[in-house]
Amino acid sequence: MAERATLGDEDGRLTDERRFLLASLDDLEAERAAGDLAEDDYLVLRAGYERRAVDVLAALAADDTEPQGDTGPAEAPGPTSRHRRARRALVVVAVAGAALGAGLVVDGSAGNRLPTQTITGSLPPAIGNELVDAQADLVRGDELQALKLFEEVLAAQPNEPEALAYSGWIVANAGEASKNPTLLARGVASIQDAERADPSYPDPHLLLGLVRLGTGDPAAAITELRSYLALGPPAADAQAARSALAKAEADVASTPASAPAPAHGSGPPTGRP
Amino acid sequence: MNAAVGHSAVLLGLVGALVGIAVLGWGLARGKPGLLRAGQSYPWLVLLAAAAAVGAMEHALVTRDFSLAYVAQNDGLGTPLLFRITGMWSALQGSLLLWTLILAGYLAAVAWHFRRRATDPLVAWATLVGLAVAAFFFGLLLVGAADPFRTVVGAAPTNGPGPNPLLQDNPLVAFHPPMLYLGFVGFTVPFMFAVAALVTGRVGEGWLVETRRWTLFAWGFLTLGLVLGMFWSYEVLGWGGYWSWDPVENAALLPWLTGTAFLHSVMVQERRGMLRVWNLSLVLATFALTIFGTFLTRSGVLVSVHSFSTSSVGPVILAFFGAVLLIGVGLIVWRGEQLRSPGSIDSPLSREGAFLANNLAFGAFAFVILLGTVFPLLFEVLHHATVSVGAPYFDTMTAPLALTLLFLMAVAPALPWRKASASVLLHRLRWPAAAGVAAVVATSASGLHDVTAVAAFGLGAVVAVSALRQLALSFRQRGFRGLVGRVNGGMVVHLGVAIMAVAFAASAAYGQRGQLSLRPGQTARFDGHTITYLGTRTRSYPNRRALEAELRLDGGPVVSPAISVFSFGYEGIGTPAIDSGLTQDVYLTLDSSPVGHGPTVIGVVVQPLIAWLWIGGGVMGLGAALAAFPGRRRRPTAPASAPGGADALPEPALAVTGAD
Repeated sequence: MAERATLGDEDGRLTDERRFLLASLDDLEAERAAGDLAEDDYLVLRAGYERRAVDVLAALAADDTEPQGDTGPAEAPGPTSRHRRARRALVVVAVAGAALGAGLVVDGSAGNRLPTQTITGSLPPAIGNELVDAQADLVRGDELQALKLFEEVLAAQPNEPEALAYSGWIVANAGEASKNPTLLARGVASIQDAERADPSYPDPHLLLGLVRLGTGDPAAAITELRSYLALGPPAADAQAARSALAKAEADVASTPASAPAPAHGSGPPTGRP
Repeated sequence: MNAAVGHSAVLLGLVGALVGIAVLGWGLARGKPGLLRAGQSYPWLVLLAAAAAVGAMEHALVTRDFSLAYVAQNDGLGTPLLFRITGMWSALQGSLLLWTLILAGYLAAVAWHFRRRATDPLVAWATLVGLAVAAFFFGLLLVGAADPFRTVVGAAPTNGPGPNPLLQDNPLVAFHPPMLYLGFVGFTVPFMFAVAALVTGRVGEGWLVETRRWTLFAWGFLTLGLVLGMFWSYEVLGWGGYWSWDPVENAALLPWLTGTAFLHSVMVQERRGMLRVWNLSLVLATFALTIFGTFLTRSGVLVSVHSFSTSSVGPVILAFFGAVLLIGVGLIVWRGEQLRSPGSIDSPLSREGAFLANNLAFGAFAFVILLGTVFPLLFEVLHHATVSVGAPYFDTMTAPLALTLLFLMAVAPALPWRKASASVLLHRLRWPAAAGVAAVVATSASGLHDVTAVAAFGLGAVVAVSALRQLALSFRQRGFRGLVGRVNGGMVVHLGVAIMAVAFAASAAYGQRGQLSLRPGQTARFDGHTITYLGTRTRSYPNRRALEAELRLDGGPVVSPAISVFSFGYEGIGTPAIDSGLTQDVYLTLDSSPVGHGPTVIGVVVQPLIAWLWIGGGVMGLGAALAAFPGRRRRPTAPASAPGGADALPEPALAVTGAD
């Protein structure tokens, strides 16, 4: 049964090929008349189709005369089939090689995914938008959400001064409130990083001044607040800074030179200055 | 009420599809023409059900029925009407509903188109396959997480957050997703017929002829959807670019690449009886990639492979994707012997040789993007670490492939079938080549040293002149009729691609990007433009509050890039202000609002020829429409050129005699 099916398939294939070759010969004439083919090419192609058509017709005739069920001895693979097999192997090797090469390139191109990144491609990070959002959260009193956004900005742009300053301020406030010196020091270091990242940006000086004042170091607060005012801040914020400066100066004046500075001063400021 | 109607409609659609499958299956098994004819009415029932479900959802959105969880999450009292309507495709459940409606529409259109061949087993099998796909999507809509008609637990809220802010910032959301879905879902039709051809054993050229216009429609819609997506990204996202290789973009591009390869290779099979397995594989791959894209964007896998594993939708879509692949490959293997092609390539320097090379390039293009897109997912599964494959990988890998495709687009239309002689080729390519050389010389002389960009300019010019030459010859012989049909429409598409290629190259090579820190009243110069910052103001809209920077550009009218905060949303959305012209776009964004009285940071992107990206996209869409328009009826194997005249080297006139 399987053999019969194979014979049927082979018959069908030969018939299909005969139809194709005869149609190709017709098309060839039309293409020659249309001027698509040069005369030499036409002759070579025509000879090729005719030779193949003769072979196919002969094979079909042989199939008709052969008794069903006897396909004769299997034909040994000739040079054409060996050539075809070699070509197929070459294609497989080439495709596998190209795929492997692409795999190595993609492996070499992949990098750690940052919180703001998608799995592929890259948009310039919308730093501005995130900073606006974070400031809005801060005004609303949602310091945790603001800190998360500032940290996302820092993951994409580690030296962004606004994110450094305000995330440091939130952390320092938390450290002071929880009497956690490690947290406080981490916050202060971040604000100082902001000062170094953009010396012309006034806000870190005000924030650090307020932190110093809150932690009972009015002398350091005075230095920071004066630096802030020297950078020409907006009038409304400058007024708040002058009040803080006056308080710091008063604290310095009222503290005996030998007395140790208290560990914690007045409560930390809440909300954005 | 809306929930009841919606659930009933979805159930009706599922039952209608399943009964239709049973009727057609029984009719095919028993050879009963009556059942096959009856089976063709079920796509209409499915369409009715899908339309009723969509109607219920739109009614719920427009009337703000917050008792539906989907409406409560994607609608709001402040949401304008347009975005309430488009809210249906602003999230997973609604977009699956839109997908189902479009699929049902295609099935009904197929049933109507083939109404006189209802008893043909090829048509019956194709309808059965289509109904099976529809049954899957209706079934998906009943799965917990994808159910659009799920009601809220407890009392219904009185307000909601509205759609994602990015999806209520620009009216383009009304066009981009539906267009994309029309393309995605449209590839179901060639898939249906390919499976039907494999099942019935009619794997010759018949099924290709039946589906080529459907494929063209799907391809045209997908092309327009992609271009609209680029336009939306440019107009809405505020980063000054239009393509960032993000996974959602990649998912949409993949079926376009394999679909484009198929549109070319199908001509080789029609003409030379070759590439049967390849064409079937491309159709199956294109459909499978649309399902893969749905999986990628709707399963939660992009957030993390772990969120995928907790999603009830992801595994179901992935299983369907696997089933499509398994059935497709299984059928091809089963029909292996019958798929052997009688034809072979006589010479690599021929039209079929160029199409074969074009298919290899498209295949490599798709592979590179697929690899880059799934690599981070596989890495996370294997190593429990998150990685990202950046744009440089995609740029580096795809640039040479894109240039190869441009080269083939330039040369292929001049090549005859079977074999090209050097003299014919030289004669036909002399003007396109001259244009290419002129473009390379001009761009190099202008100081451009980027080899890729120079090559893109040169090849773009060759493609454009090559396509225009074919169209001019065709028009000369047949007037406006010479502009329709598959090959002539294809030349118009090539022209659109050339325009886009030049616009891509120009914007990448000559674009300038920078930031200006300005205080009110200050003026800065950037790339030949003066920008004066007048100040900021806050404006309130029904659904958002916007901080707008007022800028005077080149002494002209005031433009206002903004950052908007939507109700219920904490995320600021940038809205750029774009001064667009045929030669150049100036793109302004508010990058950072003033802190206190500090400076405001304004982003500026100046890019040439951006408008030509959209024009090129429109030309491609027009070309697809012209290609789908029936040309002159003739044998698909007619010669590539008109019958020879007095010229020793006749001009090709594809419009007259090419395969439409």
